[in-house]
Amino acid sequence: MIAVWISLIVTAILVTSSISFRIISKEGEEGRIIRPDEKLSDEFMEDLALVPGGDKIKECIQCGICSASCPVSFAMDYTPRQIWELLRSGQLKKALNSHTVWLCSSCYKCAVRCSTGIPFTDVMYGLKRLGLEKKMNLKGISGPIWGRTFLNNVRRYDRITDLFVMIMFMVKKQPFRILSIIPESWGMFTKGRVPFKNLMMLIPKTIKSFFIRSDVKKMMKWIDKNVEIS
Amino acid sequence: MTEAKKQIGYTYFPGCALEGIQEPYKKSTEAVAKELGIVLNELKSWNCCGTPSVIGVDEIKALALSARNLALAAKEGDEIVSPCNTCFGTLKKVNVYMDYNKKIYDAINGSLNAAGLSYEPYTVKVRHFVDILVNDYGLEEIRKRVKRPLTGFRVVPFYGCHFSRPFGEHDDMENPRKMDDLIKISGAEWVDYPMKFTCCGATLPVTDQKVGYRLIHEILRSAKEVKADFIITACPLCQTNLEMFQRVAGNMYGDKHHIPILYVTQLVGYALGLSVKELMIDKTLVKPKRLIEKSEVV
Repeated sequence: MIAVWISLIVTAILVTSSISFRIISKEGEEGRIIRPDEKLSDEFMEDLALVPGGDKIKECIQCGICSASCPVSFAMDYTPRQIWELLRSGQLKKALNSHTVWLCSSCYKCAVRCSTGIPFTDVMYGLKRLGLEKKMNLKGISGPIWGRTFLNNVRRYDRITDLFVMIMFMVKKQPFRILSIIPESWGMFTKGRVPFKNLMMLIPKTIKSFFIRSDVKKMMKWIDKNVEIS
Repeated sequence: MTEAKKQIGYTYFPGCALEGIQEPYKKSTEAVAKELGIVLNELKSWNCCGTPSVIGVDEIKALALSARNLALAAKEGDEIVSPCNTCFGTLKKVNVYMDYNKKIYDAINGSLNAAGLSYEPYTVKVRHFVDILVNDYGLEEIRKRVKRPLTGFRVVPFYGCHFSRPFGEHDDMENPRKMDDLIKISGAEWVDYPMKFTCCGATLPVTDQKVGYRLIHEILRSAKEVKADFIITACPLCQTNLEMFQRVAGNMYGDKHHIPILYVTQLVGYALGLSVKELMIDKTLVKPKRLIEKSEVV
């Protein structure tokens, strides 16, 4: 009987040790568990060093005040607290594929309340950019299109004509959206708040932009050429 | 306000939204400044501040856009004033980022050099127009000039996130009080409510309707519960959201809202005795009927 018990214990030890041995051997380093997107996480951590206080994310104590403060956490598939843990545990791809990142409306509630002082909103901006850079699955998310329409408009005309950006965005993403706010749009129109003056100004500006390079255009071009960080 | 500042005035950055559908904010800000004797010199050839929408796509470009405005303002003086919350927050951010990181500093100054400009962090201080009204001009000074108090109106403030977050230099980050004070001295009844400093959803009502509409509905419902006559705000984006999507957001929850959203400058201007036309109060989509009627009687 004792012999049976001893053999059982020995096999159990052997099995567990072989599993842990396998983990270590796969990683090549002792005492480390495999993390799926560790490289990506490390890369992102380096980028975070650019953000004031960004490296503090390692000190997150998982208290969850960010999730509690977030006005849109009700709609998120991972709450902010879970996103930070995914980031630290090397499962960044899960975070990038979630809806959370583009739901952040940058209200800074989490950043202000965090007891460790982590600038979460800026980290979220970083995740948005990383997701775009790595071409993550952004199906059904229109935040990036909105942002790019904005940037293109600024590049071309220095300033934004909000109506023009709105029209461009709706043409690209939600062509029938305007129907739902017809009374409001009509109200704006009759009250003279629609900036036709600005819209008309876009025509000479478009012609002008072929010949003259504005300051903003020069700057954007320089950044495109010389700056690698985004 | 010091005598020197009174004469030189402030460099003024209106921002894109105020040039477009939010013209009432620009007109009322300028009217109030003129009435109080605050000189605002509009920054020449300013560009977009590089809003959070752009930061989410390309941060360096957004910061460079902001830095150009500050570089231009540095030639005029050491302060820049914006009535727009988003512009205020973004312009402020550049100082912090450029000071913190050499890489960002080099990238931004490199791009500015391409346009014949340069900028050193913290040479220009970014300020909010409400901050100028309350701290530089002084509440007591405004109180002395009130000619048409808004007695009998219940008013709730809606600050808009970037009013004092994340830096919170001129007001509290959790519970700002500058606009509360302005409401009180205008003669209206200031009403406290829980949604005073929450988020209106920024671009979410456009990019993700269901989420955005819920946020808007919650704010309007809360204002309705305290029987507010109107909401005043200091942010063009909040005004657009709360006004344009008021009906659709209500419809989504089977509720009807009818609350006018006015700007803080329109409220102050009204109390100072400026005309409704000058302040463009009549251009608000949800008309503050009682307020307009009252101005006609007096």
